[in-house]
Amino acid sequence: MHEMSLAQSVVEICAERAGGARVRRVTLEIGALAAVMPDAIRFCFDICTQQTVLEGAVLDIVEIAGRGRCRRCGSELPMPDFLAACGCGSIDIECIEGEALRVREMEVS
Amino acid sequence: MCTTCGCSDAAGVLVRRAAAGRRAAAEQGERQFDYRRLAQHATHEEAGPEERPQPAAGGTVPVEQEILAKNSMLAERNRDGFGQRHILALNLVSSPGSGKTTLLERTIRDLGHELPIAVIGGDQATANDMQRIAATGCKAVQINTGTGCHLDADMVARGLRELAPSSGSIVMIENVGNLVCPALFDLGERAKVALLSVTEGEDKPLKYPHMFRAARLLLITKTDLLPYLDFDIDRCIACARQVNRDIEVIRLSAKQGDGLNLWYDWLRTENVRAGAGAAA
Repeated sequence: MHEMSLAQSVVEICAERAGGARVRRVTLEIGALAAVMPDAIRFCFDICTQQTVLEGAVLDIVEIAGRGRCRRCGSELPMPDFLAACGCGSIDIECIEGEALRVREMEVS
Repeated sequence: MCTTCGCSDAAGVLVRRAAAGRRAAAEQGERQFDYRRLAQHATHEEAGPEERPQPAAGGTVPVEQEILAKNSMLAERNRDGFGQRHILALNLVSSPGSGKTTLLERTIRDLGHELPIAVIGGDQATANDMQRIAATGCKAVQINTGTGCHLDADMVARGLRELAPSSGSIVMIENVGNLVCPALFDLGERAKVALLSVTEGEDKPLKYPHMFRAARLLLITKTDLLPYLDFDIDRCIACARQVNRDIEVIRLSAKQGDGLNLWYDWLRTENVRAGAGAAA
């Protein structure tokens, strides 16, 4: 479960940035096409934050929908998975959004 | 967990140089291996308080950092090291049982005299795979990830210190058998090579699209078994191209030798490119 590694990285990033302050809330951006389950991140986050300055912090996850651009006709279209097909009949779709895995911000006190 | 580097993530990870064969290991016991509990914390405990970040002021702090930034940084460091030493590094990914180790054994036996090959292998437990590899006479290091489901760039860096591959060689990184997690972790390799055996479903690229999108080359393995199976190899390739239009495909049998010349030519070409890239 790679979500555990990712949750540990989130804790690392936030703790370093907090420099000893308590972290109360963390906001992540997770793309729908990033191969990451938000629920698994939440589960792992609660474990990884124990005995750190993030212990008890609220985790907000902003899910970013997938979007693609057809390489044949140039149209943009929703991309719920990598098997999206364009209305023009093409399945050659470039992913332009939805692969984010980012710590957006945090609240400290 | 150490919040500077996340050390505890690696605390269950073992890196060991593999001995040639189970028998040798059984005879000589655990001393055969250079077990190394991975170094923890030493470097950053030396940092004085003045080097520690100042506490952030209260309120909302923008972070805007990629979660995988640290892995990406370490992967780039590995990549630079490979480049400086003209090493072609490949990350072999697949389900468990697709034939990664068998293909490597055969490749080393056929090609080792021409291109030196060294191997880093990842499994949750045992050194079995790298003992098989070491039996071919090449350098091999086993990484046991413990509960981990993938290799990351830091584990590979530690493995490389143990492996000490020679300049101009090929480093094969045999990842943990898993079609999900290893797709996300750059190890510093030149390319990911995905293996899919014909005893698996031909639609596997659609079921695990991230991995097949991340791979540059698809090796369809165990083709000697095709007469006994209903595997539709053309459909398999079509599925792979549906998620990755640029993926290269080679069909081979490590057991019978079919298609291996294509794989070896691919390695030779990439090896030249890796060397040329480093010289440029």
